[in-house]
Amino acid sequence: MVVGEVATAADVVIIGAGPGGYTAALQCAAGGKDVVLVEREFIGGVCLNVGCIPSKALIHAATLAHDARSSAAWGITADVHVDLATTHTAIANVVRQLTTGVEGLLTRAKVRVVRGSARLSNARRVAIETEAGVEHIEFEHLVVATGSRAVELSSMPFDGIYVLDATAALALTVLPVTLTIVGGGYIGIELGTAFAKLGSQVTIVEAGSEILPGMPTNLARIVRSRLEELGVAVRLDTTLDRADGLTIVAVGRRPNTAELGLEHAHVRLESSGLIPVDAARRTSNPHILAIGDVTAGPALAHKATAEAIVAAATILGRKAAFQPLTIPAVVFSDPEIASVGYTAESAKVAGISATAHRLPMRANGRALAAGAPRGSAELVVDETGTIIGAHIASIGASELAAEIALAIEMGTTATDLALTIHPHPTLGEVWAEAARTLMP
Amino acid sequence: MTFGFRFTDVGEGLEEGEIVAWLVAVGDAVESYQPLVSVETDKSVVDLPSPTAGRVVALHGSPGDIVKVGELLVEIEPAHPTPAAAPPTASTPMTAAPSTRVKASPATRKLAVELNVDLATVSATGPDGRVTVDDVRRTATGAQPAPSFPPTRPPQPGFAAADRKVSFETTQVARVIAAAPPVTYGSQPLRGLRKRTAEVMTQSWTSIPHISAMDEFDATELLAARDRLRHIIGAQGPRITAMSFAVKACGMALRRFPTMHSSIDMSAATFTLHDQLNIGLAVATDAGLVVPVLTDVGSQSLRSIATEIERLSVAARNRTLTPGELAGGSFTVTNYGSFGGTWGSPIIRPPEAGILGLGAIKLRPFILNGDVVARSTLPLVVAADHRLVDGDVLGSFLMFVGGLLSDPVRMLLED
Repeated sequence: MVVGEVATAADVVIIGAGPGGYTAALQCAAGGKDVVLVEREFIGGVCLNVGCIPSKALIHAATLAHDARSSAAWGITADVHVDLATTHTAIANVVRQLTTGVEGLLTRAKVRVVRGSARLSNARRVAIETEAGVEHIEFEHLVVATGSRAVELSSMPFDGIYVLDATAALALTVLPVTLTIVGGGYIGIELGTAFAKLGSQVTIVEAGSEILPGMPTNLARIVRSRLEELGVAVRLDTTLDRADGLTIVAVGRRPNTAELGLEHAHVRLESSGLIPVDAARRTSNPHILAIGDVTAGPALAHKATAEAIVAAATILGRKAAFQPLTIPAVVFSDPEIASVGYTAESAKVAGISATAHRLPMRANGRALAAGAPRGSAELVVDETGTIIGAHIASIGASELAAEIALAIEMGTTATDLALTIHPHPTLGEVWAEAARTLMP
Repeated sequence: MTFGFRFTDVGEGLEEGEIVAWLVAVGDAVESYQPLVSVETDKSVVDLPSPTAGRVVALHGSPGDIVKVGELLVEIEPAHPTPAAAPPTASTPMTAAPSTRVKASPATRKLAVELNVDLATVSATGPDGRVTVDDVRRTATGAQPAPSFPPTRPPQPGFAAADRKVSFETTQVARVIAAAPPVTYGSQPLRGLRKRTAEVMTQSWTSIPHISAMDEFDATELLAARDRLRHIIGAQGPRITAMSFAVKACGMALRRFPTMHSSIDMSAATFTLHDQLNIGLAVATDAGLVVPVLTDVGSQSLRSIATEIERLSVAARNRTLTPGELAGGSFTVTNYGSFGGTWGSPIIRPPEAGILGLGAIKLRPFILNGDVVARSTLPLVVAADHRLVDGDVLGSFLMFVGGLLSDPVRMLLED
């Protein structure tokens, strides 16, 4: 059934309601634009529904179980049972609260949400296939925010039973006795840690010579030694040619750009599937912008959100550019690790004369008092004393990263950081202490 | 196979544009997004980027030619497909090189993008060589690093403020004289913005019977209020000017005198009173007069009006205004006083029904409590379409605006 042969008009059409898409929709609506947001699966995208948020809730549950089992040294013992089905109800509640919140914001902003799959028909028109039929919209601007999906290995295609992607793994309601994870990147490490703490026997298989490629190796080593302590078998320099029992494959993500009809709209696509954009987030068709995982850079929600703000400003006729100095990278492993900006090594490669100072977390009162002395914190400055990087493995590392991200963006020096009074006793004191060593 | 790059409607219902300059030559290698040609549309100049990487094999047209939407502009021999970029991983370095970076906060960098300022060209006054928001603004407006008013110094109303104003104007005049361009004598084609201005002004002058009213108002309190707000807002905020107050007051007056804010249609024998206050701002640019529009002034604070004036003026001078920012005006304010003049006779921009002109604020003889004293005064002129507005309304409008500006506290009473 065809609903409308004739197209309706909208100022802005956004494809994909993930963190990038819904942010762009809200920003454009706040700027007075008439916005249509198209989503084929979930409001909130992978991040809110089957990615960042539920995985953090699962990690929280796993940490509760593990801490309850392993706190005898603090005089606390417990008989712990894990009922993964109930855990999932709790996780679903978290997800529902967030997605309902986003839906409420969209409704209040008068963004029209259309459930369906979008496909561009030409440079200014998109066809949306909904349950009720096909709707055509003539747009002034369109934002591609369709995100990415897990890369499938031809040797072990996803079957939803034995070979799972991260989304399916997060939906397991029965705790697997044994579990193999292919891929030692952040998704594999987070899931492996969580299932190991819940009680599964986990093997992580990584093709490279160290887990967590892209993160500083000293941080990766801290995580790997902790995984081994938790009973996880980590096999480096190893590939599997077929699935081994229940297997989660987390070897990367690829952009969802193949089925959008971009070729009909003169939007250039690289062979990797990524859409090239300029700093204002415009594609080769100036009416079409792209943000998030469909564009170059790390496939992270916080990058998509930041790009959405730039894209919306461009649509609203303001000059804007996506030009961060750093995009923090965080892994919710045990301990958590975070990396912001340059390491001493990567600075050297970039021709910057850098100095780094690293402190063990066991010297930090709060970390010791929290029973979490594992890890280290490293601060990197250039020859002018300006902070250019920080790399930390610690309880709370994900939160500690934000202070240094701000410091880098502001051009803060080690002296600025050292002379800023940090509350005591806190984990953040580690930055002030490292900065005191680095200040001239 | 070559790729034909055609002049596309960049989304504003354009029909044609004028080639201003070729930014590439035949034989040049170009990259994706590299600007190929500058085209002047109705009121802005846009650089059109290359949709592909390759080599330029032909250019169609010369500077000055009018090109219609859909016409072929450039032929490009596409480059051989480059090997696929490695898929991004977390290992992709995510940091721009701080060694070459200019130290500036994200807010400063955002402003620099908005104002088209290259941070590398800004002389920094912040600690440790940081570029500040003020440094960027100064570069954008081309102003010299004028001695700023330190926040510890109390605002000084009256003569001191007026003296500052006078010296500022002197600097501006000097700049205008210094910047005189070389002249080509003889007949020239009427083009682009000049042509558009000529058409609109002819339409106005031949169809609108203008009436004008003018008077001089004490600006002492206005300057004090302006300085006080500058002091409060500080360097981070927008620059509050007499113009910001005038736009605000004008919005209030237009609510009281709705026929000043209307459009006439003689063929239909109707006139329309406009609800939304969209005030155009006459800005002189190197290329001619441009009138960006502040939308919905009635709902804006003085701060947001000042921010918008600043943004639109810079965009007008850089010619980066979007057609949307130039459309929809329902009244105009013009500040010929910024060039030093006292009185002007502004011309209404059809289909508007009125225009307010501001003369320079200067020390002038003024009668206060029966004595002739030197006082900072603001000369105001308002012109209206006599088909819609009679002299009584016009005079009342002028006195109302002048009253609000000579005693700005009164603005607090208005909606």
